[in-house]
Amino acid sequence: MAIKGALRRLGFSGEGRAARYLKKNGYQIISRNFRCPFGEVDIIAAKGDVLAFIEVKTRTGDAFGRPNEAVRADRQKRYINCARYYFSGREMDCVVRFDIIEVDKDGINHIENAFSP
Amino acid sequence: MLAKVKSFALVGLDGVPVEVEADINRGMTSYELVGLPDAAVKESRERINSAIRNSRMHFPVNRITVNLAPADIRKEGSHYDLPIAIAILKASEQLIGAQTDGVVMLGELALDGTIRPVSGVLPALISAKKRGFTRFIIPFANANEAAYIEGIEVFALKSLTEAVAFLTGAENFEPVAIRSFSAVQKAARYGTDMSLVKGQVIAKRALEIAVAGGHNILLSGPPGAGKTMLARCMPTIMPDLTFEEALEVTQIHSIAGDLSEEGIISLRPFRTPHHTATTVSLCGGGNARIRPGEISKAHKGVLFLDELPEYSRSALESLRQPLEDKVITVTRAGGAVTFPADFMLCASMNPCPCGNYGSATRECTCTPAQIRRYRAKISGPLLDRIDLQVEVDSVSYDELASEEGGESSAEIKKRVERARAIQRERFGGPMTNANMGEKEIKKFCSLSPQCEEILRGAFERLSLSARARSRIIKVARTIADLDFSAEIKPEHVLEATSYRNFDTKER
Repeated sequence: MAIKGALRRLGFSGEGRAARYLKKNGYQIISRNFRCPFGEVDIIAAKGDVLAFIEVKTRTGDAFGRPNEAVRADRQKRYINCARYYFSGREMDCVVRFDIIEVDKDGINHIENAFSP
Repeated sequence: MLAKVKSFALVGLDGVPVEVEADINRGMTSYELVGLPDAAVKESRERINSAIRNSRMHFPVNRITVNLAPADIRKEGSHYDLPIAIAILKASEQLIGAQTDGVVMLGELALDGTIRPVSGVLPALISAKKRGFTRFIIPFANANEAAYIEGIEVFALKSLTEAVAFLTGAENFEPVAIRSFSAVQKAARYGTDMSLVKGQVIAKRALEIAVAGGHNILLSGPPGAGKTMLARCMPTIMPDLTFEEALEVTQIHSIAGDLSEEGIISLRPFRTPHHTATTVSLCGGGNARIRPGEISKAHKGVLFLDELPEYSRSALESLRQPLEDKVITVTRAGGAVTFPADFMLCASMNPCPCGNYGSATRECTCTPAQIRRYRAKISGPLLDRIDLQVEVDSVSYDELASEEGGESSAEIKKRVERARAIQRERFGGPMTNANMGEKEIKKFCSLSPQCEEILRGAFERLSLSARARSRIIKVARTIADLDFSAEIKPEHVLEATSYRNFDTKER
């Protein structure tokens, strides 16, 4: 349990850093930890006519590979389904983009349009 | 926003205009390519994405839909990369003021934005010109293919950046300069010449007759007698290709993707498929993209089948129809395509399995049954389509060592051209004696009673078939033409009869 709690704290701190980074770069945070039957979206943020669904990956080192490598096909599918769910009942008058933000001890790396349906 | 750009699809040798439409919308980022694309076209997305970004432009992050119209024609090949990229750039408003109307684009993109060469540029240009298109962008490496077509402006460009600069008018480019075909043809040379063949007077004469009248020929003789060398000399005594013929031949080779540097084929092709060749490799085929086979690549030239009995039966039988029709229609699930296949067939074989049957100097060790079995591999109907069957015996040492070469190809060619001129006048077109039907034979090949008598004798003694009779008459007509004789004389019939080697050796 202790290890799991530590991981969760690491994740939360990463998402916090990512959100601050986005705000600094002109994004408006629409939602954090948006939950739906398909899963959870870390951050939904808007800038101009772009609505970005953002997965935040936090790592303390390279031992398990680069953070973005952990976002594989099933996770991508989950995000796409979440986005569809998000837009059911909303009007989709924007460009929808899927981003990944890598957070590690060196800083933040924002990959725009990291994957698409 | 919506943008439209023109490109071309090839169905056989025929080009069909293709409209490349790109539509960029809001919504979930995606890239949808519709309009019956094959795998190479579908993969274009990654190439286009990289090429645009590496050309310092922006690949739009939006919902992109690309349509290739008309939607019912299969789109094959990689030449849609360039038009799709231009359509996407235009739809994303990165080509302000670009003039893309009426410009036909062909080209594959490399990841760095370079335009790579594609196959089939020449037939696309020719059919686009017929449909009234006059401005083209093609890959720089294909420029030579465009150099012989007058009345159109072709811009051979090196990269996507150049294409954008050209379309927006930011930079001026010179269209591909027109080159003269006759100069290229004069410079081209065959690798061999009749004067290099020692001895073989009878075989050379037979080749001359074959070429003069467009007859197919079978050379039979022991190994090493010089059959292959003789066959290789055949194109050298054929009349030069006219420009129209050269364009036709080049189109076929452009589709096959085996064009050389010159961009046009100015010499008669000489194709020698190996005897393991399949029916498909001879006649043409392929699943997605139907490609011409050896018989089409030999169009207006010579198809040489060395060791005729070694070819598979089905491959040989498949030649029968194109030998009559001069075209081949290849039908596949994707549709039917017709390629021209107007070739002269030259075949060679040994007279028996050991090769020495009928030789003046060496002894044959085969049994009659072996020889019969060997010859039975060639079907009667195919043999019937070969007008001249000639024996090529080995050459004596004295002949080989003699300095004296025979006539040069140029001299023989002059006689052939004269004989062909007579035929053109007779038929009022580019027809040859070999293509005469029964009607023409009756009209142009009246035989004197004396000739009739000779033919009757041969017919009865050699038990010839009805078809063999008309073959002999056709060959006699060609011999008379070479002789400048208006009527067929007895000696012409006699010589023609002597070229029916296989009929006489039936045992």
